[in-house]
Amino acid sequence: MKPIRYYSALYSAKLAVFTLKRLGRNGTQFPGALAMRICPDFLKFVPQPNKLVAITGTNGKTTVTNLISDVLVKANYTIANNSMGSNIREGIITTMVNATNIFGNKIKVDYIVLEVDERVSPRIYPFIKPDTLIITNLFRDSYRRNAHVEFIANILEESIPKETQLIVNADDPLSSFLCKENKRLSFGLNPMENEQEVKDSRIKDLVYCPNCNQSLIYDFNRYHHIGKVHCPKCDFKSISADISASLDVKANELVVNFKDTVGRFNVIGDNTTDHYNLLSCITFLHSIGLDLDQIQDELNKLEIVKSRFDVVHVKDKQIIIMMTKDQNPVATSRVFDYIRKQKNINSAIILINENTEHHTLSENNAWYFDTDFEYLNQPNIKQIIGGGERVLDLKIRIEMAGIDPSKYAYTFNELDTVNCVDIDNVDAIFILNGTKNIPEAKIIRKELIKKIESSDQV
Amino acid sequence: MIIELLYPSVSALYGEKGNIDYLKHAFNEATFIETDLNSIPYFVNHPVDLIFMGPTTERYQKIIIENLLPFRERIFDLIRNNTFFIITGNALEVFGTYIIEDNGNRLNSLDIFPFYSKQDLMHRFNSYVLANYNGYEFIGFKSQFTRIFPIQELPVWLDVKRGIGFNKDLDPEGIQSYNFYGTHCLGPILVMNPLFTKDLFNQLGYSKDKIPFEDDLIKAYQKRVLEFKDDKLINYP
Repeated sequence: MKPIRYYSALYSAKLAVFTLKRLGRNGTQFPGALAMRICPDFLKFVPQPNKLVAITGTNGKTTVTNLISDVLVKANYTIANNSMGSNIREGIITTMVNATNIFGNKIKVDYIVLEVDERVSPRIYPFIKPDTLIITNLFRDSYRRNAHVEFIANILEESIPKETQLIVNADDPLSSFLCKENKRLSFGLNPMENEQEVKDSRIKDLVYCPNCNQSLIYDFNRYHHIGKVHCPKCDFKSISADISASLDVKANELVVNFKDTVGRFNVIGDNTTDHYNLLSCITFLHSIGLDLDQIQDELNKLEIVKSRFDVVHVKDKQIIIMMTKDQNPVATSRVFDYIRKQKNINSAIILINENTEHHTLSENNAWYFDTDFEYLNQPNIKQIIGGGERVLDLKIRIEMAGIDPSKYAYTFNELDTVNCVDIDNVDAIFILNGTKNIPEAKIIRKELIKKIESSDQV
Repeated sequence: MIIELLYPSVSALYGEKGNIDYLKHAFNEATFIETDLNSIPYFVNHPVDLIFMGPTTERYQKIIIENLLPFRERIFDLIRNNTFFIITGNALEVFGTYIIEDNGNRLNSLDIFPFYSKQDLMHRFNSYVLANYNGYEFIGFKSQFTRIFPIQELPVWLDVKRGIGFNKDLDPEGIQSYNFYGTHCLGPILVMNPLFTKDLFNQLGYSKDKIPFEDDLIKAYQKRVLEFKDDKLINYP
């Protein structure tokens, strides 16, 4: 028998969802917060999903959640997910409210696809147990909240239910060893043709053997601690991938080796992280028995979420919006690595991280010093433009990275960064925003388009 | 000049690599020794001018204490002989008497300064620090699982005006004894506090008129100090 407060919370939250939708708002957090206020142990009473896949990890959660959701819908499953909003407890409760029938006793969808922030795991998994949990990767992130990667790994280790099947990245020796007793499937990306190892990452979250503290040997180091490792002293080594993939550079396809067959998938982006995200999604879809042809058909129609990577062409120039994620040095370094590899285009980079938070606090920019700004020290990167309250700190970090300070321009108003761009001397403008300033990035792009269209250049 | 970086691959969390980089910019002719977790520290058998160690994980903190305990007397001697130490984040706890771990265990540490630290992994203490030192303002951030409790009177470094000191009831922050400077403040502090850094570097024999990027450092510092004083921007605990 469920308590009255549960029903009261459910109906209030459902009403809030309805009202917010009528007002044209997403309302992904408020209904959940309301439900929690009325019934703090709401998740204890919510019906168990028919099938639940959760996605956690430092980077790639949103992309993977969206990819899986899209394919499941196209494969005629009914789903509920939190892809439009919050991955903390309130957002997850909102998703459960949406998925629960009006009587509050049954989940009305086939699948729930949940993006779960690593830190909230202990508050979620005791009540709603995922059938499958995809752990994309683990890196240091958000120091105020997440501290360090061992802390997050311990939280996951203690909160993941024993009966949950894990899908892990075999190339991440930190997350692939979590919850050793759980059943798991792993995916990995073989070294690509002419792939150069990235050994110059500023941070590496796994240097010593977790068993015996000996320095690990990286047999292949893709970036940061991603790659293949072994310990020279004990038997610790990276796991072998159950499902491995190679990149066919010419065809721009990911060639995925399953046990008995091979599938080819269009890549969803140029960045290695995009390949990992796609591969985790393929591994999951294959694990639930979806037909390979069907997975291929559906995935090949998809592209990466526009909020993460969005290109427009104006005259002979490109404007690329890429999300770098505030306080996340690895996500930002991956984007910087991508940009440094675009060697045949002259580019300008607009960095508008952090601007939304300055109204409430003086942001801690320690993460700048874990981020590979050194990657931006390239002759073809003509300009770096900072916008927002932290541009003076950014200048120092850029100088410390050895970048010619004359390449750096800044303005405290992020929207004014448009005026700093030397349009005539660049082929591409990268706008790098955080999670909270996507609207500002779009305004900047709109103004840049106007500026390019009104310029004399053809 | 010889600068030893103790265990930098695991003891420079939270952007503290920025302190190391800044030292390398300033003392580009110095010899930097990067001590591996499985090596005997260089200072044990050689003279050094400066030792830097930054924040680490709770697991590595234990290993580091084990590693350094056999050399406690040598560390004492180095401090008394005016070797410079810059110790940030929870590396400071290594120099206290003991640490009470989250599970209640007592972990004996180097016992160089009479204080203990108490871990609480359920709570992360985040704060800004605006302090006075040597007639100017010193700023930093705090993000930690621990608080410090003095056992006896401590040689305090910073007089905290706003923010959290050793613990929520104690305004002092950091230890300064001879040339030992230790604080939980992050930043990186050398980059965030050019006035302090210039003083420190002068004592270390820095010979140029300006420290690296000094003008930009000062502009950023002045902006931060104003922000740290602004109640509309910052809610101090």
